Amino acid sequence: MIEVEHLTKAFKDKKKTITAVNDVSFSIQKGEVVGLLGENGAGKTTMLRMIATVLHPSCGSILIDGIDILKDPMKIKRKIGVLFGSETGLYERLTARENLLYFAKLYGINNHEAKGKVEQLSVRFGMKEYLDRRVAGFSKGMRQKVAIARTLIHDPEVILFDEPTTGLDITSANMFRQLIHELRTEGKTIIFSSHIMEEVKLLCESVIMIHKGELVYHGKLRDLYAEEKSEDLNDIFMSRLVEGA
Amino acid sequence: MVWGIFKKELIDSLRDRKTIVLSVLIPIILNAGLMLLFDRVVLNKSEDTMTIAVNQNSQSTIYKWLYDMKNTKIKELSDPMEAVKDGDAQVGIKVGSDFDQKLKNGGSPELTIYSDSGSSKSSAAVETVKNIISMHEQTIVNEKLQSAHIDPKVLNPFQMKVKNVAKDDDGGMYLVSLFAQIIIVLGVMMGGVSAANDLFAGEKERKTMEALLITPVKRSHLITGKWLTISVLGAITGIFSTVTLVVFIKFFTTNLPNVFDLEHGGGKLIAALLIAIILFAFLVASIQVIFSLFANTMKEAQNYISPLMLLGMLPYYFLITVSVNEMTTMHFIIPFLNIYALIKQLIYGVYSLQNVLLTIGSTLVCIVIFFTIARVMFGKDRWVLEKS
Repeated sequence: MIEVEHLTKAFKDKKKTITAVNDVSFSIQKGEVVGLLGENGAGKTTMLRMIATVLHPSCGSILIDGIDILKDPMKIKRKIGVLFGSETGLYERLTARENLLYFAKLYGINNHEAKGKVEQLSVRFGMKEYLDRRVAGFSKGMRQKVAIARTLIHDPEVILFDEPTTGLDITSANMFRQLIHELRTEGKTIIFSSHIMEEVKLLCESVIMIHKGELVYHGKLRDLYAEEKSEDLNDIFMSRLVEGA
Repeated sequence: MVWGIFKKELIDSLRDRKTIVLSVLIPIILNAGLMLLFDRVVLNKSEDTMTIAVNQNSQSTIYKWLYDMKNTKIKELSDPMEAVKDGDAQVGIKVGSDFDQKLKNGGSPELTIYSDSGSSKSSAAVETVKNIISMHEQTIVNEKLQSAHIDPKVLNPFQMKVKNVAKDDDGGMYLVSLFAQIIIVLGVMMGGVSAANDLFAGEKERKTMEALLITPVKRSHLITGKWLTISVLGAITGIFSTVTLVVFIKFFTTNLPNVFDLEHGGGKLIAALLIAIILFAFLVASIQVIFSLFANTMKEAQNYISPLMLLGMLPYYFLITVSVNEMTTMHFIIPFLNIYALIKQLIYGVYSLQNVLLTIGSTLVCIVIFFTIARVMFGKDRWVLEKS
């Protein structure tokens, strides 16, 4: 379970202070798939970075399974897997296998176990053919598979995806959507930010909408549809943003 | 964990063509090019022919003296000054037609020597010509004194001797010390620069830094692994530059092989040089990490680090005119200046434990200061995350 209480993040830029996330509170149940919606610059990435322990909140708290991320960030890091963008975080001059083994090592997985996990993931994502090739020559789809495998190498309980399908072709995006279904059946808790409303509609039970750093809506999609008497998520999103503005 | 990070970063960096070019190819080209150029051109013992322009149809005694000189070509021209100006001769000499007559009668005839102070060849030629003329002038004076029954020694009330306390050097050692300093220091600075740009600014740009920071690895371990990689690459390049320099001088030059006297206390000199290079590599790496953390992209990092390289070369120019005997404690305390000073002393075969220890001590203090700054920066979000 993820509990976010009065989360705020302000950045000081020269003489100005920019509040990227302002007093946001919500909770996500274990095994839930939550869509994070917001315009560019709404604060989605900042919020995900704070949950991922990369950024320190200015105030407020985040608890994952009752553990405060500020008090025990190392324990939290072992529980979560993060993918920022669709294919980032890969070392181009290393092979796919070397990338995965390196991250396995960073997660404290022993060599023998890591090799097994890499084999397992390469079968799962159909990477066998290019596992020992350097990433520099990979297509976007190939990179995406390696990046996802890297995110899952330590079998995280909570997975954060920041706009994972941006820039991907239809096949790769569909492969990703299929993966979310599979991870949901495995009981993983997933938060993913997206601009594609159809994708959110298809994959999520709940949504979090933020606008200019503030929470506009958090709840089940079916409750939102009932409230708005519409199932057009695009329209609902726009009207909520206007209300929130 | 630090070892695992270091190993990965080293493999990754060594697969980068830029690292190979900066660490291996440039030291070889620099060493080979500079040493061969100086060996074949500057220190070439085969004497060049000197051209002296004299005024036309002159049969003066003074020209007879010059005809006896080796490797000399005399050109009889109406305007010796123009010949020097045009570069047709290194020296021009003009004497009046009554020079011999006046000399014979005890008069004081005039002669004018033209030189081009902008040309080292001309300056050297003028010195040679002046020496020859002075020698004959002395002979004439002595003859005149003797004919007047005066002992020529009356002109020399005392004997003056100038003895060189520096190591016997025909210019080779001076040149090697000049180039060794710049080649070794540049080698260290360039060897790690590509990795420094890549491992911090580059990782921010490619967002691999974010992926790293999400893992349960302490930031101190991450920065230490990366810093070690940059330091090792710098040290390897510095050592490689030194080895190629010595190899080129020993085996591919004709005028320089005797510059390095490794048989007498060579072990101490090599050990001191190795320690100095390695520590200097760690210091340079700490500073390069700070500059790379300031930047958000590789290009920005290059813009920051390039002026740093130029600044790092300033002490070199400061030391050009300072001899190894003039160096003081301060030369070995000031970081960057101390590495140049130490290399210069070691090339001249001067080994001072005190100076080696001062260099090591002051470099270690600077490493601690700069690495601490880098570590503090690496702990702050604003320096490690790409601005979104």
